[in-house]
Amino acid sequence: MKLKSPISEYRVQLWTRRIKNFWLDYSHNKIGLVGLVIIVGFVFTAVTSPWLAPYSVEEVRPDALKYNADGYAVPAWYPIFFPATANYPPQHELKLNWSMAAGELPQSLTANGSGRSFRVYYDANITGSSDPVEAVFVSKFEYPYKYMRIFEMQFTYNPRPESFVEIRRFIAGKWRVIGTTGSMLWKIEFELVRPDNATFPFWDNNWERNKYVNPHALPDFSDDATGDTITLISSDRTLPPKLGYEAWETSLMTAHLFLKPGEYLVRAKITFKPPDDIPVEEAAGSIEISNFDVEIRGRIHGLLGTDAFGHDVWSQLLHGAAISLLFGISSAAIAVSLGILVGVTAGFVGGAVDEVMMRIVDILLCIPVLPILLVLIAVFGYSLWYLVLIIAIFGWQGLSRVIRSHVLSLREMAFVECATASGASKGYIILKHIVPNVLPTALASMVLSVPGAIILEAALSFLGFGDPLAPTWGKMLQNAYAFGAFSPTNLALWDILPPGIAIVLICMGFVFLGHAIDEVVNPRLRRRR
Amino acid sequence: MELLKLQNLKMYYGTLRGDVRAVDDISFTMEKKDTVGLAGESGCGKTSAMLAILRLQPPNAKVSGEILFQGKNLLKMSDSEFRKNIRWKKISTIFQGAMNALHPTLRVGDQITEAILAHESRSKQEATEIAGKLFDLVGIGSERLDRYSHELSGGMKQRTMIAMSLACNPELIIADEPTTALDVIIEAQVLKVMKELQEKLGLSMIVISHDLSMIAETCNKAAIMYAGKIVEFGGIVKVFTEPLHPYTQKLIAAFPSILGSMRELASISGFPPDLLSPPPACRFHPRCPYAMNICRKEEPRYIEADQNRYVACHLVSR
Amino acid sequence: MGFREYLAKRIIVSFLVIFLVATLNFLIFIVYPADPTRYLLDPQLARTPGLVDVIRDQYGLNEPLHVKYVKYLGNMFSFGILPPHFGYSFQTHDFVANEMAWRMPLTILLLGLALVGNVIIGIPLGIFAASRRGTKTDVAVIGAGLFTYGVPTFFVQLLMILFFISFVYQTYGIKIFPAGGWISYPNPEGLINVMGDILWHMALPALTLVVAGFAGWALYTRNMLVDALTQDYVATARAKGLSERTILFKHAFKSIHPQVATLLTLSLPGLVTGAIITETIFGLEGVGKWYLSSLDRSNPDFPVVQAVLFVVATLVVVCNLVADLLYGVLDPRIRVGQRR
Ligand SMILES: Nc1ncnc2c1ncn2[C@@H]1O[C@H](COP(=O)(O)OP(=O)(O)OP(=O)(O)O)[C@@H](O)[C@H]1O
Ligand SMILES: [Mg+2]
Repeated sequence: MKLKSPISEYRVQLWTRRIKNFWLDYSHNKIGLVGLVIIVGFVFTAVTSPWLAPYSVEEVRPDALKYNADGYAVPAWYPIFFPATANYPPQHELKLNWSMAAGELPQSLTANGSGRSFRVYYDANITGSSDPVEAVFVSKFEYPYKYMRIFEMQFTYNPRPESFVEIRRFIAGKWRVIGTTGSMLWKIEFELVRPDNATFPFWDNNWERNKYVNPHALPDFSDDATGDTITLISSDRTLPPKLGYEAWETSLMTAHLFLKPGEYLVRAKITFKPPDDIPVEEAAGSIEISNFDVEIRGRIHGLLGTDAFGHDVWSQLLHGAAISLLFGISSAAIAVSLGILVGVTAGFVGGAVDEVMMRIVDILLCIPVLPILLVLIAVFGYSLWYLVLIIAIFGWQGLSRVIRSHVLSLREMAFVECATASGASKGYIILKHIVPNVLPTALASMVLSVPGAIILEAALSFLGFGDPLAPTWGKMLQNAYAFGAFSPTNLALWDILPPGIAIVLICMGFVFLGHAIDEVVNPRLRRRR
Repeated sequence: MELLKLQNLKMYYGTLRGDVRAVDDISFTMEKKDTVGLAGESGCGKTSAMLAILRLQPPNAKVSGEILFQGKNLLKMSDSEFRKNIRWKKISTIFQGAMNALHPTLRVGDQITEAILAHESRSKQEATEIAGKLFDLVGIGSERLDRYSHELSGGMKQRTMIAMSLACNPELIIADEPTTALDVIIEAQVLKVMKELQEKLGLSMIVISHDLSMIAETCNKAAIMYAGKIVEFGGIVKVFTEPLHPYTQKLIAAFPSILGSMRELASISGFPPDLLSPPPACRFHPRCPYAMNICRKEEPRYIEADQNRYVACHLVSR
Repeated sequence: MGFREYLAKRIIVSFLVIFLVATLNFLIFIVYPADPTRYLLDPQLARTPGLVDVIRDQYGLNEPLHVKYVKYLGNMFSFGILPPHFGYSFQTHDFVANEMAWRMPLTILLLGLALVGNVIIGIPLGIFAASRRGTKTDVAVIGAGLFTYGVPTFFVQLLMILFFISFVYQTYGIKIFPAGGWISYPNPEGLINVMGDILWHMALPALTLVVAGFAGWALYTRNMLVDALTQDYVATARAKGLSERTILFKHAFKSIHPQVATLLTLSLPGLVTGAIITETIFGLEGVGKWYLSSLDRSNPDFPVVQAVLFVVATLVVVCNLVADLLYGVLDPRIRVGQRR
């Protein structure tokens, strides 16, 4: 059995007493308690952000392709204060269900299916006529919102001719089959009908015919007609001219299309006719329309709306906490370690070493950090951990001075002289006597240098010199500033204020905490109150 | 009439852990031309008592009781009246540690004239003349008036302080350890100056010191303080030759006397008490060789044991 | 050591530091992936054989390293004969010094306004708080000072833009401050009007710097002053029966003069930092914005970067020299080598 040595037991007692005393003093410090609460709150947020945040880091990064809603969608609670936003559409997708329009189908057409997809069959043999015949399907949906800015439509059509005719060409003295073509001509037209019956024909193809040409590998080609998936985005400049608007009037067009709440109608008109190079009786085939979806970009979204790229601000805010904390604390920790190293060495070794170190500190202290950081980043590249390092490298000078003078005074103290006299090695004295005594000061200084690091990182991000992929608060502010959050049309307060306030709050937390610790460990400062 | 009369003076420092009872119910009286020596261990509240008399206590301190100076209660005076009529004009001080008590970036001469100009309607030139005379008086030489304090030696600084304290012909000078930071030779010089001035100008002084021999040399009355209380007060000869309180006895026994016979130095066992929570009843009882039951239960009253001899001890009051 | 020798020594050391900074400044750009030919020429021309080399020759990029270094030093110091021209800018194909000559006054004006504003608001406020230690005023100043410490300057500026530009001007049409830039377009006529116009454009940026900084100055001043007020010599002054006013100004404030002077010079780096961000945010064509845009990854203009760093380093060193001398004048304890 190993006996606990009385010395180590004494040490434990000493430290428990110290910590108890520390807490006694600290808990009387109101500012300190406020700071502690703030920091604990942020730590909690940082730890739980993967679960608290509605979207993951990757989903809300500027390079993420998917939208959470429209750019600068207002927060969900905005209508309480700004009634004008009450009718904004949330992000949602309409899945259109089809049914046949009232009235008889022409004889040569039959149709089957309803709901998400339908297919229209054509057989000219039934009437023997070569006139075009059309089938109309409609889909109704309720749209109770106003002020839509962007929508996205997607549908698939799938034409399937009954048979194929060979295409022959006279090549190198011989008739050869170079492809096939389908046994029908077809046309699809879509129209949007507003509740007031205004009609907007937003998409059609001209007469088309399936054609498969393969001039080289004869006659190996597929006869399976795969359809096509069409995506229409209202913010695309191709749509407005079709409806009689100027190309840039995308928002105006959208606003006109979805002018007011009510029952809207999408009408699909499918027309067939026989091609003229085959006998009329052979003209036959079918077309399927399926999966017609309309995605409405939400203009009202979540707790804090969206940023310029349509990404959830609340999630970004939560994810930013972890990065800020990690960044601030780690760069402060590195800086403080450097500061202790230099301070203790300079103070303990003294002489020329001290002189040289303190000269270097003097010079570094009056260097403007930001311009240098900008150059270093431009030269060596952008990465969060690299930033941590260089911010730390420029952050230890002040502390090393304080530590040095502290060490100088400690060196004169009785217990250190006792240790020296009783033959303790320098390393032992530094580790056992000097370092533990400068630790409280260092702790206060570390806490106090966290805000500096956080603010510096935010400033760098804001200037576009941060890690482009890290969702930091500075980056959020940069995006807000660069992409129109301040323009009177957007006035995206939800994208400007939260990241800024978060930076201020977390920094205040550390300032208060550090201030309080400083006052507890340096009672001299208490006289300042 | 008495020059200064302290009655039940208390000064507590409010701290997070409670009140530090630095001065706890002290009373004594001094006449004009008296020089009272205030002695006691470090931390027993000597400086605090002085600060209370000068109303220079820090903001966390609470002062109560009465300080009668020429019959007027200083604690009842308004701030501006006290500042204009009492400070430096009637009561001046020599602070503990003159090195810090002089302004670092003002010339010493200006620091003296400024005190004169603040209280007396004189021209700048007259004030400078007075300051020069004072400098000559304390043996620095008026040519040093335009020096900065860091250009003076420790002894000179102390003498500058003395000169400064004399600037407005005060009725009372309180000197807080005027010689502690000085080496023996300089200390002797400063003491000589002080004694000479006392004789020449007939000063009344309170001299605070650990150094009993210095008190013996300069004072005619002695007050012995222990843990915020005055335990013994009386004429210097009586107190030093027939100490009544065990603490005074110990203190004197612990002090080497160069001229006296060689004897073993006694030490007082134990540590001075923490003024946050001083021992109950008689504060000296844990260290007192004669401690009795009553000493642990009841606080001894501060009584006049003899003519002008006050003591607070159960041994005496019984 | 006499004062002259001390001064001479300090000047020599300062010069060495500047030289060292210039050299580091040169070395760091050896690794910088900057080649003016990449964007000086349009891709068509770049394929012309020999043309790239001609341009590289023009900019002295084909010389061996030591020749480059000597030329660089020549550009920076001009061997004391000519005013330095700092080499050719890749973007303007002109001497960097020419462009700096009109940008510098703008930056100096901005920073000067900001510094003056901070000093004339912050220091009196600090004195005021120190004289009322422990009162609500004091607590408010401490709080504001701590707050300043945790608020990024650029966020304050964004808020001010949000209020004065986005709301007051663009939403309600009241033009208290211009929306950005450093001069109205078309430029006003006459020197006085031009000056007035520039000052008007500087007002909001300078104001934001003052708003973001004055409380920090106040807190510094207050803390130094309170430290001074707890010194023994202040107790002496009080015992002497001097009025609180005299104690505050003649004793306590005078004793912190050297520290205030140091604070002023040490604030220079912060000001330079502020210039970069402020000019970028408000679109002021000063040195800071120029510096930042010269660091653009795809379009770097490193002669400009080198020149700005060099000038800033020189400025900092000179300021420190001045501060040291000033300290000596203000604090008799430090006065070196002089018997009064
Ligand atoms: N501002 C203060 N706040 C709290 N406690 C204080 C304060 N100033 C002094 N004390 C405490 O009051 C007690 C008396 O202090 P004081 O300075 O009067 O002692 P002293 O007798 O003058 O000692 P010394 O001989 O060392 O000068 C000490 O225990 C000290 O710790
Ligand atoms: Mg004392």
